[in-house]
Amino acid sequence: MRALRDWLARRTSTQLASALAVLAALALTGSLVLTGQAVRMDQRQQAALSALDDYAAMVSKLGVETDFNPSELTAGDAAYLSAWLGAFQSGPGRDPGSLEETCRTGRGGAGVRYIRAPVGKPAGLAALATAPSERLPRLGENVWRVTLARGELCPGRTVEAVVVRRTVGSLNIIVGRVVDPTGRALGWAVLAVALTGAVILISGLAAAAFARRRLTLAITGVSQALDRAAIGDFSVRAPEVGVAPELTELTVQANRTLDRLEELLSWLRDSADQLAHDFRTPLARATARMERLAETDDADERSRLGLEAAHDLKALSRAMNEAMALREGEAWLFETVRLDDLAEAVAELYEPLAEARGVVIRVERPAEPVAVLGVRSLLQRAAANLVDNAVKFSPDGGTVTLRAFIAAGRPALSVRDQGPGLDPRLLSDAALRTASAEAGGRESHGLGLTFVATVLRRHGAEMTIDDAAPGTIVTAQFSR
Amino acid sequence: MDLETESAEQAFAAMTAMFDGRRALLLEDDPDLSEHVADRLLRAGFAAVDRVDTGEAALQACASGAYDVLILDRLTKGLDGLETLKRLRASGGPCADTPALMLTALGGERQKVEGLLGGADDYLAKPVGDEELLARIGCQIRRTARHARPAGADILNGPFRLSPGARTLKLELETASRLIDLSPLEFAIVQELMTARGQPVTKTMLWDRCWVEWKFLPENFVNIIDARISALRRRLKEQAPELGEDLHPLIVSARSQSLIFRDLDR
Repeated sequence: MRALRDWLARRTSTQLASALAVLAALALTGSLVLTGQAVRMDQRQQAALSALDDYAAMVSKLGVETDFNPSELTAGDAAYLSAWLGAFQSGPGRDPGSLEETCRTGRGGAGVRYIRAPVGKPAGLAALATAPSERLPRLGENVWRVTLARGELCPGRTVEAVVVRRTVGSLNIIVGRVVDPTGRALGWAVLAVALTGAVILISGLAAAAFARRRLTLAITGVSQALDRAAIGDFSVRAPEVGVAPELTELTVQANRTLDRLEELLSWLRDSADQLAHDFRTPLARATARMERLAETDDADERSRLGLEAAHDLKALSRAMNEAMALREGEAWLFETVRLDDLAEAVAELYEPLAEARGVVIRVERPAEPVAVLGVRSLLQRAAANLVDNAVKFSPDGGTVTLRAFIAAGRPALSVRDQGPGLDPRLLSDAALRTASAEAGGRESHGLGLTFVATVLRRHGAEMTIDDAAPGTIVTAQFSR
Repeated sequence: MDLETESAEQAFAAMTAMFDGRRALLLEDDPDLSEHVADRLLRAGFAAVDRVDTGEAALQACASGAYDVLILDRLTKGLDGLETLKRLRASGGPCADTPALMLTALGGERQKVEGLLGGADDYLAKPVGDEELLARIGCQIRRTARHARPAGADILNGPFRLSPGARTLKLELETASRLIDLSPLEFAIVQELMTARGQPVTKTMLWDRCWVEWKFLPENFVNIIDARISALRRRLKEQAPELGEDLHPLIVSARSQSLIFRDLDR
């Protein structure tokens, strides 16, 4: 079984199709041969039945006279029989033109007779007794097939007859019928089989061409979408339904991969912009300080500049770490992250910092778990960043509320503070970037909300910022 | 504060005493960085620092002599640091059990895991400050020195008895003995600091070992740790008032990035 599967796996579709065609041709030929034999047998059987019929009619006609005793048979009897047979040759109820027609057309049906008495001349077709014959036991006792050569019955053709050889009293009687040649019936059969074959072939070819066209179309769709993607255009998608159902899965999969790649790429582009800023600012500052360091001779100034440059380098290495974290998020597998547990953990993490300013961090968690699929370290960073901001902007003695919940089947995490609130003009994505860039100078603000937004987008989540009057409520709404 | 500074400098001096006469192998192919690290180690008390710049040379050096600590870069010419370490661990030679620190630019979470699985005892991402590096090396050497002692044994420091198995901190005074009430995180911090026995523990080390569920180092982790330590100091002071004003805070800052649990036996 395994060997067969392996063998099949190595054959191309064309080879398999050719093999199928050869097998089909063999089967059709085989069925023709079988049909031919069956037709021939059927015609012989019909001839034999007719011959037996003729024989019965003949015997009943002979009636009492059948009781011919060879010793008593006179020449007169023989003459009588001969005359009777002559009269009978055309047969009772037979179409007189049938022999002539048989010879002309080759169609079967004509009756042949031969009778021989112990005395006198035999009557009828002598060739029936002399021509090569073969017994046909399957058609009955004393049934023979006789081949009558050209000139023996018909002047122009060889015919085959099925005859019954019987002895009535002292008479040898041979009665038979010319067999319809199989050619004609077989011709019909061949025609039928050939037509069937043709119909199968044409419909098969048509179906194959149709299927091939459909598959090619679907594959072309996928291939075009991939080609466009290869040169950076992710707008093209292969049609998923209505082309080839066999390929729907592949198409859907290819499109999903493209969606994901597009999402990742746009995400990467965004974070690269952000990173460029995070790298360049400290780099530029450090460069400027180094230049001044080279110019100045004042020892205090030199050591101050050196320290400041070291600080810039630290900022640079922090930006580097963030960049690596995002790359890390790129590579790691998604896992189940419980938002409610995350809220609890972040609250615990920031509790002492908040406490120092009299800020209370409250966690509201629902009865049921709130879980999302995500990169744990990135979600931790995002949540920590949100809470860090909320604590920082809270007035002394304020409250920060963390809430994990499920809204309309979608898990969400919200962080609410009682700070001054955000200017609604800052709520657009581009403005957010500016806001965080402006805040970038402030200690430990880091990538700020842009980083959170980047991480959330990476998880297919939306970030909304609403006015909580007083304060702000930031909600991360996940899709799954 | 004077007292605190004094205590901190004592801690670093104690570390120097521990480094005294030790030998280190440094695999690093950047000559400047290699020289800088070697210089710092020698200044901290190391007797010898053998510098090599390929994995093959490191294997050779290890075959001919034993070291107290291995400091390996990952991306080196020839055999890389991680592969070198794996071979050393498998070799059964003199360096098979020597504590090893990976000191590398590959600082990702996954790379860290790779390094630790590859046989490293600690994994540091460049750039690393001198204070951090020395504290981490000190921690590794201390662990080797403590190897003979049964794991999970109680740690005593003055009147404090810390039982790692039961996860309890007990104050045993002549008059009374009572358990100090600590949260699991606070206990982990105290355990980490007390295990260091008066030697400095950097805040990064503390973050790595006590805030284990956090897969990243927040930018303001220093503030977070400082706030947590302040709360912990208050808690210890409230629950152990008998020690007297001059011994509090029990946890003192050392240099810029380290913390020390005061050695009360000294």
